[in-house]
Amino acid sequence: MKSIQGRLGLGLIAVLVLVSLVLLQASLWLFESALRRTLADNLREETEGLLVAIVRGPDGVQLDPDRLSPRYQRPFSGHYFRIDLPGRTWRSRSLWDASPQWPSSPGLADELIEGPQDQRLLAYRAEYQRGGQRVLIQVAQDYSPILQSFDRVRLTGLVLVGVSILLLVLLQRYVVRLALRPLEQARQQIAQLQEGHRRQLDTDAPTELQPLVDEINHLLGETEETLKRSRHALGNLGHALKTPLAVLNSLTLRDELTEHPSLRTALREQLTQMEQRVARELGRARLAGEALPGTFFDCETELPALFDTLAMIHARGVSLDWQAPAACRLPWDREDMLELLGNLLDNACKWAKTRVRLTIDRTDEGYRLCIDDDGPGIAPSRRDEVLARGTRLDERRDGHGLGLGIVRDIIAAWQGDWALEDSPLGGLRVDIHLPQRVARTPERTR
Amino acid sequence: MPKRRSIVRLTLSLALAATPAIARDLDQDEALALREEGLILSLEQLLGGVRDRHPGARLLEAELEEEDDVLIYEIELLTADGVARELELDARTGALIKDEVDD
Repeated sequence: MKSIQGRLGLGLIAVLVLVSLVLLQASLWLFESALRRTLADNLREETEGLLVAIVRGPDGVQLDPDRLSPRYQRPFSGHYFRIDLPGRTWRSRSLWDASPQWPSSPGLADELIEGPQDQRLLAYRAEYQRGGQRVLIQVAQDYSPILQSFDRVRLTGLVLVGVSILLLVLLQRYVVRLALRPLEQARQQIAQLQEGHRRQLDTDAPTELQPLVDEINHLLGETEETLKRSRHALGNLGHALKTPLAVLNSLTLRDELTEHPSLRTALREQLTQMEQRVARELGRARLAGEALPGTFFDCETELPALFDTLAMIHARGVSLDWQAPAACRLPWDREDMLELLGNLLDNACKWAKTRVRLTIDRTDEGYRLCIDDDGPGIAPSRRDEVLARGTRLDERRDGHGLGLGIVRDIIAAWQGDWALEDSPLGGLRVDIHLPQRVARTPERTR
Repeated sequence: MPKRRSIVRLTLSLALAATPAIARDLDQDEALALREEGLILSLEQLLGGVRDRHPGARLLEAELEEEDDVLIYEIELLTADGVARELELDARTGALIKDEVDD
């Protein structure tokens, strides 16, 4: 899952690392090149000092030891020279028996040369004319202490870069969290919306989110309104059709039709079908899929009332009980849930000998509803038939024949599934699984 | 007779005086030449062995001496704990002849 926080953090770290490394290396380069220029000046001055030290003595040209720096005396001191005259060569005593690869081009050598005792030498070559003679003077200085100190500086710099990046990332996390808090609030509110704990999003969102929040609230309101209207319209249509259908039904009983019994039977058959169809569509129309905000089914208020009603209808000593998690709210439409439970419990009560039980459990995906009775049950071979068509198997007990059909439609609308099983109470168990997050406004087709 | 004795004395004193004169310091150019001929080890090689004896020691001074046709390196070191030591090594083989605290 990619979060804005994560992306910002990653981008920031990448940019910071790149910029700091480039800055660190660039500043080291600049500093080192400035240092080398200074050292080159010093070395050039050394060659000039050595040129002056060449004096004409009693037995020809010689090197005046008083004009030589003592550091050219101690072996492997890190400061070396070599002076070449036609037919003569002086090497500093500090070189002792070492013979480094002196550079071949004048000025500061581009590359460091290998010196004794793992020294890395910065070398300088100068050519002069003195007393009509060509004098080649080469000097070198141990550069390895400077390389080591550069390594130390680089390491310190890297540690500083690391620490500052860590600090900046922590700071950035804090700032981003602060800035994204409204988004997080909106996310939580939408979750609450799905749970059925709220009907609208808070309207005090920041300016950037305001249009989104307004639009969501508007859509929520509109959806609720539309649904209400269409349910209302369907209800009206259904009721409006009921009376004409009843009138037509009674018309079929008129004497004029007694002479045409087949016509009468056909009419009645069609009218009954129409009535059933109207009743069924009325039921279906009320299935709004997932509950609209705020219209959740609150077990603790709805179930006692439902069970009281059932106990009144089936006053024949059947013991009814239910079990649900504390403060359980089922995030589906209250009326549909009542219809679903009412139908199934009613069926169970009709068949039960002594007991009917409703159990509601929270599962990982949503909720599980179990309706158990201790009646005769349904033979396993016939259960699929009931599930598939929602038909009634009993023709003896009274009922309108739509109960299980509506149950099936409701469960399908909620994208749940159901099964008929043997109940631990001895009769039938209806086992319903309802996933919590279902797509909004599922289109129901036949 | 007295004259003859004096001659003997003179020769003796000359001989005695000449003994220290045999030890001679060689300069860097001679050291380079000897090293290139393979007659002596390089100073760097010798110092490698010395550094195993005294880790972290710094070279203060090195001299190559010829004593009775034997080439000897006299090396002064400053050890890691700041003590100056004087070492003598055979320049041909690198064998340690002397290793003592400098006086």
